[in-house]
Amino acid sequence: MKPVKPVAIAGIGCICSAGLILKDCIDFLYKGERHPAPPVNFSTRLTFPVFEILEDFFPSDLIKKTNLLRTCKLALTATLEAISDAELDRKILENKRVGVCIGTNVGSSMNNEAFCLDDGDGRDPFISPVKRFLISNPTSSIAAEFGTTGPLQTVVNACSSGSDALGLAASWIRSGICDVVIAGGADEMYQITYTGFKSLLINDDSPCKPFDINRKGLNLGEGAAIFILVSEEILKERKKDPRAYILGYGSASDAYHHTKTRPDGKGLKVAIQEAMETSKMVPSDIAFINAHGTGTLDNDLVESCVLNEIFPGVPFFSTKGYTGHTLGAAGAIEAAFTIACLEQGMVPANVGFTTPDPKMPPAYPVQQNSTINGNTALSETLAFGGNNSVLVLSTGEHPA
Amino acid sequence: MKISIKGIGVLGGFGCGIAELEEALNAGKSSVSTVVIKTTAGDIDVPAFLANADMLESFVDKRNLRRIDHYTRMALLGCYLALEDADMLDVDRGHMGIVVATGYGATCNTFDLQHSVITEADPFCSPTQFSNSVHNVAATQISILLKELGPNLSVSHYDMSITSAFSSACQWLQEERVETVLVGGVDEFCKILGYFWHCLYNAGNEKVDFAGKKSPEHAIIGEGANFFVLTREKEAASPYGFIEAVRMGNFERKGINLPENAAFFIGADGYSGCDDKYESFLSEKAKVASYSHLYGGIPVGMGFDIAIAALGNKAGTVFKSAESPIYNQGRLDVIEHDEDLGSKRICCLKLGAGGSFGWIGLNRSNF
Repeated sequence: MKPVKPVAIAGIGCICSAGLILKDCIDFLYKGERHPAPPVNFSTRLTFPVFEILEDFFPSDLIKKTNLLRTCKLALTATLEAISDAELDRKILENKRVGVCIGTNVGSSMNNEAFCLDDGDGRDPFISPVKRFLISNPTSSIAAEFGTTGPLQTVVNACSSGSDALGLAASWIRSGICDVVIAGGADEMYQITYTGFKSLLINDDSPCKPFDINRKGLNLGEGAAIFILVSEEILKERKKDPRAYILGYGSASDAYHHTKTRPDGKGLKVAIQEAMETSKMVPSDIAFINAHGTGTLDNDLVESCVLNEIFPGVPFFSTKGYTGHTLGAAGAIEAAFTIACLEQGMVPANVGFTTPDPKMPPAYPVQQNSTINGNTALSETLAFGGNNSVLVLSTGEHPA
Repeated sequence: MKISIKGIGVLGGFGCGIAELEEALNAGKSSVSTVVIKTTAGDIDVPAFLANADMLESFVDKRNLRRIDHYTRMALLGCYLALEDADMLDVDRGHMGIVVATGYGATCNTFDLQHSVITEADPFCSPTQFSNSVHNVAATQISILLKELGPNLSVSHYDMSITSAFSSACQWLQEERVETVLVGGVDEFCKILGYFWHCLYNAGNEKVDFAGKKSPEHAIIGEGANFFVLTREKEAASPYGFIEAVRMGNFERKGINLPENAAFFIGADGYSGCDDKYESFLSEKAKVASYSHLYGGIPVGMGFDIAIAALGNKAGTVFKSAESPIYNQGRLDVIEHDEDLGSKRICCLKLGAGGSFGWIGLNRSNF
């Protein structure tokens, strides 16, 4: 795989149950808190804990169109923070070649409860919910709000969608298609996925415990993280150092199963190899790994084996114990956390882990907040469908 | 850009495979089915171009298809036909990427799943149904059956899904991430979309035949799949031609820069609300054609236009168009009979919701 040029990240926005902006999220992680609870934003008789955003987060006074799906509201909220963080004038977004590339699951699915209820009650359903589905997703919402004129892409690679969106968006900058790309992931908590994961028997009925011997599955979450990627030209115009860089990206399929991780981890290994080769990094360059770490039996076993094989001794952790699994947003949220940790020089404890699993290699996740050395780290996501995506991120100096 | 089309796999209302697509092009029509949907006001008849994916069993053992629904079967068959056409079924495909576009995803399964979860007293759903409702289910099954470990991408951006997918496929080839990409689109008919069509276009429950349809607003729902094998090409000639450019943007905010010396295959299908806007972006007497009368209104319909363009490149012909979806025909030069392609390139153009546009340019020559 050929090495690629680093792509500058000018700004980041993040919202999830840990906080409504990235700084609050990362402070929350360092405090070691978490507050999963049964869902309140939709009605269900199930009681599996989730990580919902309970605050009224949406800044409706700053957004032109407000009758939107919750996923779109999450994406727009994070985008506002990212643009502010990048100190970009909104006019630049209208005048430059600006693309939007967002990963999602629910945002691109059919959120039409009213339609189903009408249909189920024997009434001819009103078609507005379907019509709204047909014209609404987070990518389009961001493009409409900020008047962008570049390419749009909605990535629906299940749980790796957010990472893939960032990797693909970096390509748009490198190839000169765009001056700026608004990229990331967004997903809301939703009754269908909540019930669906229960059907697969991979929901934990208590707070999740990634990499622990007593792990029973995942807790779902919701949120969004948005990155502002910029070209060299924009970087020079801004006269401000970028916040970080995407150095490399790799993705590969397991070609194995719809919902199970490939036992030999081959797809993940291929994705890691591509990410490392494109970024010209070697394992000793990596300060830490923000692992996928869902808390499911299969994922954590395979992931720990692969990490131990390729990155022996490199600290790793999962942040899903603090946020839940935010599905299509997860890759972007965890990439944002990765950069924030590099900036702080410290990684959070892998909350939920207390007892090692003897089936795993004797390499344990970070058990308390720890200082790190280095300015480059890996963020990896594994997804339904056997998608594996890996980003190499850095806060060091990487002139493009 | 030197990216060539090596193989094409298509199925839709016109039939299955490029030979049946060519037959439909020559005949100028496809057969319309009628689906009966129950409502409180009685049964409604919804016309639709439906696709038959039975031929998939000639590529995949029946036992391996047991839990695979119609949506994914269509995608799989499109892929196998494309690989067969490229003579790549039984050879080492090298490092291949997969990109699947869909406007709506697996709608039948997804709506059934939502219905059961939302309306049943006991919140339960089948794990198979849930995993088959995930938007990347088709791409997953393709990678499993083809044993492909390369990059795998699913995109879902309604009318722009095909342009978006081709953009990434071409990007991967240019970056030399992969040697080959299997790229295409799939969408299926479901009763909800049928009911949607009925509410929008046919409240009087009149039977509508596409050939004699009353106005461009009356579209026929389509379903099907269109897949392509793309590779980087060193040679100057390739039978199906080359992907010259892929462009996306917003025509309301910034207009469209279209290529010169081109025949335009427009994506007017009666659905997007944009059918009357194409004309304003085309120059006086521009050569123009529309083929949605063969495949219907379907978000990934642009893929069929690309297939028709590639077949045209191979034959050196621009196939005759349907007239009905093209507005203001007097200003344009509608291709009423098969014509010699000459040195023209072909531009497949799609306008979509929110002012979005996408176009993909194909050229017979690599220069």
